[in-house]
Amino acid sequence: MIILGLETTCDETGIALHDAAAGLLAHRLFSQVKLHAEYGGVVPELASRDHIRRILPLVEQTLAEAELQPCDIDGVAYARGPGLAGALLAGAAVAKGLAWALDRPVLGVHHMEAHLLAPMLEADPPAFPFLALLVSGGHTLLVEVAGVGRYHVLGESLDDAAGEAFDKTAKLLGLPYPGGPALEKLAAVGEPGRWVFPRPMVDRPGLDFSFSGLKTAVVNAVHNTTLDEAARAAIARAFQDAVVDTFAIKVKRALVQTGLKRLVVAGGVGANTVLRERLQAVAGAAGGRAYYPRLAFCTDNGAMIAYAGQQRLSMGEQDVGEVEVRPRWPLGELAAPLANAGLGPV
Amino acid sequence: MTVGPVIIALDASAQHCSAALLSKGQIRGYKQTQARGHDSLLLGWVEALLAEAELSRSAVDAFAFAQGPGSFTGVRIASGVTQGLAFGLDRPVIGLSSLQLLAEQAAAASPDAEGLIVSLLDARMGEIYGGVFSRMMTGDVRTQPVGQEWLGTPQISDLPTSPWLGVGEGFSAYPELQAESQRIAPGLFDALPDARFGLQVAASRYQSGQLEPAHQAQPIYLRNQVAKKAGGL
Repeated sequence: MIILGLETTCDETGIALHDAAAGLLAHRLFSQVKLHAEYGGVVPELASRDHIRRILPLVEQTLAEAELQPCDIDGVAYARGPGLAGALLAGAAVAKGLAWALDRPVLGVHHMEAHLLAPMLEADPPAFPFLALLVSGGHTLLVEVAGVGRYHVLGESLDDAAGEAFDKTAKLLGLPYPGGPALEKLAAVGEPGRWVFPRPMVDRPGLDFSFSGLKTAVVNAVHNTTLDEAARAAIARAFQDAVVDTFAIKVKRALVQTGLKRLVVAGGVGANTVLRERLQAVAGAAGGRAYYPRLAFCTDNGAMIAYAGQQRLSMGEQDVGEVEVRPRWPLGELAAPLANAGLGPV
Repeated sequence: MTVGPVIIALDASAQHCSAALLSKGQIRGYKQTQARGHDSLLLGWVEALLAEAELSRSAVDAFAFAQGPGSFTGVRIASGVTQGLAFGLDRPVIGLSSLQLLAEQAAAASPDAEGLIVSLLDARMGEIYGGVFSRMMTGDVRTQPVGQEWLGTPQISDLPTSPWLGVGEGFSAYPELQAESQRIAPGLFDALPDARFGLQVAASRYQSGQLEPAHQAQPIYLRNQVAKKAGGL
């Protein structure tokens, strides 16, 4: 079964084709980062306007790369949420129109489910069950994953997402948007220990996160010092150390609590190499290992949507009736794939 | 006997949405006021319209849609659904002005009247979308645009000096603009765009080969200043 996947939750237009037997056939991505950079963050209306321009040309390129015709598509999956409403609607409209024209099933999939299944696209995928840490600009979640659609959220951020904290800190340090990669580069040359920021909520039981206090600590540090090159690098280092430490502590705690050995790290912040190395060590110490999607599939992409859609569409699940996008959509609401049940109106 | 093209037209440019079918010279359509779920609604109507006309989806020759101006999200939904339909069936697209849909509706309602037609839609933020159309005395298409459509604050001085007929809910939002219209015929001041009134324009474009590939099914917003450049935090 060949599934076309459309990702348009935020500022990346991602398109991919996934085959149940042959795996990922082709994928294309257009990032709007440059479009939003001069506004200092994603402008939802501009994002929506760009998606509606990019989707079809990317679909055409993806089909051409896979040497397929539209009629070869057996099902269409689109990101139904969570995300920016206008951006979601652009992808949903094209997906539904195309599926109807081809007389094929269509399914709106959960963007975060797609992220946590992304390592399944790699040559050495993790087996269920596993612990998943989802860290992006919009989400920070620790999830116990028993199988597709069988998720138990163990902890989440009570305020800012980790990626948001990266972006805000980067902005304070005069780094370009998005801040993650630039901040990591700067932190690599920063003097360790010149600043020590709080590790939020690690001394409390539970697996929730909070990053707003850390952001305040960075604001104070920036305002109370002469912000030369060395200071900027040292602050970046202290911020990254605090974030990495926090995740290491919580992940270790979650592995102990659940008895799981396998750890999946997904989402844009999962591209941070210091975090990757540290969490690999944490999982190793627990007698297991960490699994990561390739860097291109840590951030938003169409491949993960096509894959998640494949898992459900191939079981017979599809949209039935009027299905609306879900800008807010708790992961815990999902259920295992069920034939003919559909992710209908909620 | 010529049967003419089979054309589907979609509109979601205001607070409601509509779909219509032209086949064998006959027009049928659906419309509904619903705030959300326009994409599923439009596709359900497309399916129902073709079933009523006993046509398969491959019988459609072209897909027309109201590309704006109007609700940003609405015109994107109509664009997106049209893109998917046209791409999947390998058919061309025809972009229509939501303001001309209003003008066609006004012309159909006042076939014996003369003079210009002014279409206005409420653009929010104290502004209107406007367009002026003249009447065509022959053929199935009843109107043609006069000058460019515009976005601006509502003011009488932007409207024609000769008598005209007003159409569109922009006149309900700004009743002070209605006065001049009353001279010719009662205005349609609550009217919203309706896909049925775009089909003859679409058929005319189809016959003259004014067709675009699926990915060119793009919105026309008129309002392009939608964000301010950032400064500081």
